[in-house]
Amino acid sequence: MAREEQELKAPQAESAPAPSWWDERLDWRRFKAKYLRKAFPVHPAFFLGEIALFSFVILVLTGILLALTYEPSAQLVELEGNQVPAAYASVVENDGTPLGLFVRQVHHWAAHVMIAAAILHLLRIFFTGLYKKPREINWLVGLLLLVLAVFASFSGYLLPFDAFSVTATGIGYHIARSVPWIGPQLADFIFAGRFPAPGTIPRFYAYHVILIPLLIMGLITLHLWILLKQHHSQAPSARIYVGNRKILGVPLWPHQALLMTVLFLVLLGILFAVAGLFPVHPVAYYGPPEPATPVVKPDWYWLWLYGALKLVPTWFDFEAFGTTINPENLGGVLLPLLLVTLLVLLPFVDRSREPVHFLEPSSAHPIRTALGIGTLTFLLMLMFAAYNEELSLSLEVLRVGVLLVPLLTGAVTYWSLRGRHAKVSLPGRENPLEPTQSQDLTQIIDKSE
Amino acid sequence: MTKKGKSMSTGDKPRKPNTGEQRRFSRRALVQWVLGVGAAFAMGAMSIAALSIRPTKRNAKQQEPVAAGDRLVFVIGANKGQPIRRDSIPVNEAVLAFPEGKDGNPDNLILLCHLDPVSLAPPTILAWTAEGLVAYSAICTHLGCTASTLQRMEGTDFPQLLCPCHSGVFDPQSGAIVKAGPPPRPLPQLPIQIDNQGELIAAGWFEEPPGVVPKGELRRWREKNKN
Repeated sequence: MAREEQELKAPQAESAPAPSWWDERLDWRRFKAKYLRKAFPVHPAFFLGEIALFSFVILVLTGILLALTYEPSAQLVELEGNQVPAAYASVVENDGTPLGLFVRQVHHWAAHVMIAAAILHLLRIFFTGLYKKPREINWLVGLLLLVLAVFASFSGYLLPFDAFSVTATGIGYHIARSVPWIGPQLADFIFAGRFPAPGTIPRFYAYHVILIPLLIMGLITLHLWILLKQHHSQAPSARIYVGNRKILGVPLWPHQALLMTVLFLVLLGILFAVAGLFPVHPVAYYGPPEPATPVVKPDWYWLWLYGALKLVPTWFDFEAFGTTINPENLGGVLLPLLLVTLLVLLPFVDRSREPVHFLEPSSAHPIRTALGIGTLTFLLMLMFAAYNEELSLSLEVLRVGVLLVPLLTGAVTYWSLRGRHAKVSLPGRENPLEPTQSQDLTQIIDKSE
Repeated sequence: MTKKGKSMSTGDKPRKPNTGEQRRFSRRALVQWVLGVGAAFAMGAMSIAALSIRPTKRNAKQQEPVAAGDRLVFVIGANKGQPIRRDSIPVNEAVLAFPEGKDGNPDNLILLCHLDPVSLAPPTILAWTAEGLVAYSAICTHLGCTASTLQRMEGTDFPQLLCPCHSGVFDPQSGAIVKAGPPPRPLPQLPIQIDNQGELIAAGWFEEPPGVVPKGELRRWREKNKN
């Protein structure tokens, strides 16, 4: 092998620079040629996954700082004359150190940004049809990453062990208990006994700082490796310039790397500004956990489930197949499970025979777009239900609305896109964004070449 | 460029068998099979360690359920841990109470309501009340938050017991029945008495299991305790 390479390289030897210290040891030049020249298409929507990734990096870095002072224990200790759990005391003390509160707020805000970016990333993939062949595996990996990110947030929520987080996690415990058949055993396993048990904090600490981050890191590696292996998807217009096989974009080094660095620094700057200006989860203000329950509303990405819990009528409570189906497990367990199941099944239901490498325009797929818009409206209506008192909407109106409005928006989307679809494909006018005619288009380009 | 490994692996090439008979089980397949079985057993053996992941249990005494004779003490506020007397609760208000020394069991959290004795009506068990004082489990039957009079909901009758998590409202004058919101059943009542020192004590356990109980479990409990 080595001899073969020398022979191949021999004619270039004069023009190419002498191998560097690194080349001689790690064959760095070959690595550079193979990976650092990889083309990355540039589009604002392609940065969503990167924002999620960078948020995760910031979460790990700030999380390490927080773990240095956090004490994972519910043992009562004295803080300013009161007996409070050690976990709560350690967070209050951390908030009192220089930049301690700031680091915790950056951590909290970065978690929100990561979940938001991951959800938008998922929507981008959904509405452009890129879950189809050959990207089914990466779609599933991405879904798992989103679910893990949500569980990471949930487990992190408890750790300050203040009145707010204990109440919120307590509701989570009772929802876990309502899981059909295995609920009580499952809940007691996850929460280390009846919440709040002495073992809950150590267990949640392990989930939050070891188990879930390791899984997320492994899956991100897999996600990116598959991305490199399969090449990046790109805008349909790129086909006009580079044809079907090549990628129109900037090389990883230095252009894409520069873009990524700028993005990372901008994200870090925004997080710093937001964390400095807007307080989030003021632990000392909420106070240590008490038997009296404070008024709690869940974070925005749980609001749809919170709304669903409100909307399912109380009489919907029956026994079947040896388990109880009630509003709690319908709204809190079965509904999210249904949504995740549908997303898992999506690439195996909406399939493509040929590999899809170009973003499919939403307008060309009215059914998919209508289903997506309808589902989003459904989730939005559930969020309205979560704030029904503040918005002074009665639950009866919302119950009708949550079923009708999504159907309506879905139908309007479908009919408007169907109309548009008919207009752009008038005979005699080729639309370069129209995938159904891509075969013809490719041929045109091939001829011109 | 060809891959390095390919030319070296002679095992893939079809070889002429020594005897006329074709080997059904190659050496390679055997090795892979043995490795697979070994790995499976190793994983299985390690999974036994999962049995050690069990809930921690401490302070068994603190977790005992409330029983007859338990003195009721304040849970929050300046008098935390002090015994509760009739006159320490304002009329139409409720305070949170624990049976003394048993605050390790969240199901023991009790709401002591001070109401006009005339206003009390069934399904409140009147024999279980004492001079207008009536006690209910404070654990909301919906998802286990704490109901209390600390917050109020606009546009509803008072006195009321409100669970702020999902706006469940209970009526303390008539057996803590659900007036609004998602709770599936009333808060179970606790029998109470005033002892000769004027302090409140529990006179037994709740009329029904307190807290979040699935419908099937509750039905079985009712059937068992009816007989």
